Amino acid sequence: MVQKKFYLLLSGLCFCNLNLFAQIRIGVSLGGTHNHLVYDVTDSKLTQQKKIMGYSIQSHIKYELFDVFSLHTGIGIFQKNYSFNRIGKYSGYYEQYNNTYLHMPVKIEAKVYEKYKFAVLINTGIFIDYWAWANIEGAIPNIFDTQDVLGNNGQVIQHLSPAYYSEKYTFNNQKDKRWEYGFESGIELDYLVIKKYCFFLGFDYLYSISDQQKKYSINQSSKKNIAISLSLGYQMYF
Amino acid sequence: MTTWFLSKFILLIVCTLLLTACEKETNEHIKPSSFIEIFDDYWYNMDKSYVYWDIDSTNWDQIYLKYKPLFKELDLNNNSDVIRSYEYFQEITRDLIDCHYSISFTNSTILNKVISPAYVKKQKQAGFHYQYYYMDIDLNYLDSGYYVAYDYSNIGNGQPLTVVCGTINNEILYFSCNFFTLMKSYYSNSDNSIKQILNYFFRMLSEEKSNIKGVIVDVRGNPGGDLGDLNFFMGHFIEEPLHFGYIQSKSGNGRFDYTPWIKAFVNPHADGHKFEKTIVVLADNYSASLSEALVMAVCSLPNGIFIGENTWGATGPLTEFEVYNAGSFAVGDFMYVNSASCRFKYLDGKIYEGIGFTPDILVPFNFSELEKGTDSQLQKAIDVIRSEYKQETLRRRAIGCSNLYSPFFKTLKNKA
Repeated sequence: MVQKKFYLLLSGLCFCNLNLFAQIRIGVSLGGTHNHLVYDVTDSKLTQQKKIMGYSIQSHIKYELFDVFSLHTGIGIFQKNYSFNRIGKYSGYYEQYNNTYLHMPVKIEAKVYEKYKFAVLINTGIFIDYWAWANIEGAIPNIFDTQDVLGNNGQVIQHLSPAYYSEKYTFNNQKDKRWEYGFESGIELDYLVIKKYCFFLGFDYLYSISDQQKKYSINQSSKKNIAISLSLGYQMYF
Repeated sequence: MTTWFLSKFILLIVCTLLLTACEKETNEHIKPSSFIEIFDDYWYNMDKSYVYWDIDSTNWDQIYLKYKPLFKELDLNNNSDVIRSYEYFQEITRDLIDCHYSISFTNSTILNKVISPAYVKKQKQAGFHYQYYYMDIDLNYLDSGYYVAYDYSNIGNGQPLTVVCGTINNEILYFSCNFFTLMKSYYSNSDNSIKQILNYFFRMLSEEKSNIKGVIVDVRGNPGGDLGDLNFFMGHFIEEPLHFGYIQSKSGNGRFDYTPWIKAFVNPHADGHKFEKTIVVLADNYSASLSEALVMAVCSLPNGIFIGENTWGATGPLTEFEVYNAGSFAVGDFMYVNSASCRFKYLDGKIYEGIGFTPDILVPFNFSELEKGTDSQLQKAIDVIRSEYKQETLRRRAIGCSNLYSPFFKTLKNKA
């Protein structure tokens, strides 16, 4: 149902305001992402949340609406990674989630500055993501893998060995919400190489308003992603 | 017109950023001082720390909806309300499958009361029997010169650590202990003879030319103990790490947030040798926790066999809360909840929590035989080691068959 609505919205946005003089730009970009999971870990002792880098690959379709405005969409891959790191005497233990989303923004873009071969554009809108796959890696203390050392006073000291893992994350239908949506805003610096061809540097801020989890229990802590990306891309005018 | 649109557009972006930056990220954790706070604290900690939610039949949301209004009506300063709260906690926890689970109270009105859902459930089961102390009868099976040692500095359930070791007809090595703090006593400076007995036992295991044809490790009535004893004791039977199952704990605050399964090992002791003769582990309905881990470790060996009754079913290990941010916790100064820190899955992929590990050869508790001085479970263990099955084990080992569930054990089960 959600998927159907998404396609309807996309087709509506793409074909409204169509006029013969409109200019279309198509491009692709590669970049790095940095994600923060809004999640309460204060009750987990000696645990901190850490923002983790990822990558993004994005296609861009821009459809000029007026002089300075255009509709910006496309489809791509966007990583929203995070990890929970133990601190203090559990330093070195961690659990890292590498989450890869299919990413589709629908934004309005405005050209706010243009001089010589440079142009600055700002954009805002919404995004719809689908949590396509994930990988978890980490190290946890293993109480069934210990090394026992005799202390000076005859006391036995147990050292827990770390258990390392790296595996594909299996989605839990009861818990994981794979469709994610939110607001996306960004800024773009374009450099026109030759006529109809330009390079651009883009910065985007993504704020999820949907939870990464389904509501499956009372008083459930929410998990929301806030991500930024910095990307370098190439566009062609048609 | 374009400038007007542009200014509104920039304003929209700024508003979006401001709105999205204002969300509160943390929840306050309130120290309980009334019954409603005690209930909230208890419910939240259970929600976060209990490791069996995805297989437990208790509907934790329903518990919240039903009992929150009831606790709201109770007064912490009223003794009859305090007793009522104890009854509510009994009702709330009665179906939990964690067999380590217990609540002890620090409130003076109900100070001596303990809630143990597993014990209540087991009392209602068919075939229930009270704990039996086999030592007096079993000493009659041992050859003269057996050892019995006590460590009065190690007390469990009001009893000192008691270790028995000896031989049966000079061909079977027998060992039993009433709980596991063997390593602590072994390295202790206190005056006890546990170390001498353990040295004797370990020496007998490692002597290749000894007449010993098999070993009986008796953990009946043994409620478990120090986790370190698993390596210390079982580590003498192996010379390579023994993979005998998997553990999983909680990760994060969510009810269904779990870590991946990780392998559980017994690591060999520095003096450990591969023991290739038959190892029989005797366990009963009161063998719990580390005793069950030991039973499963023995069963993971190609020459290991389990005789007796289903174990207690407290297979998830306990450790400090902060290791996994799961398991036992205190609710203010009112009560303490004891719960497993991880759950355990045996090599066959099954979780035996609340069920108990099933013996290869079931020999039910027989009180009338015990009254006559016959321990039918021990007798079966002796018969198995002596019998043709031992020869079958040796034959299978010679041809390199070391399947976990070899036809040998299946035959034994069927015959039993």
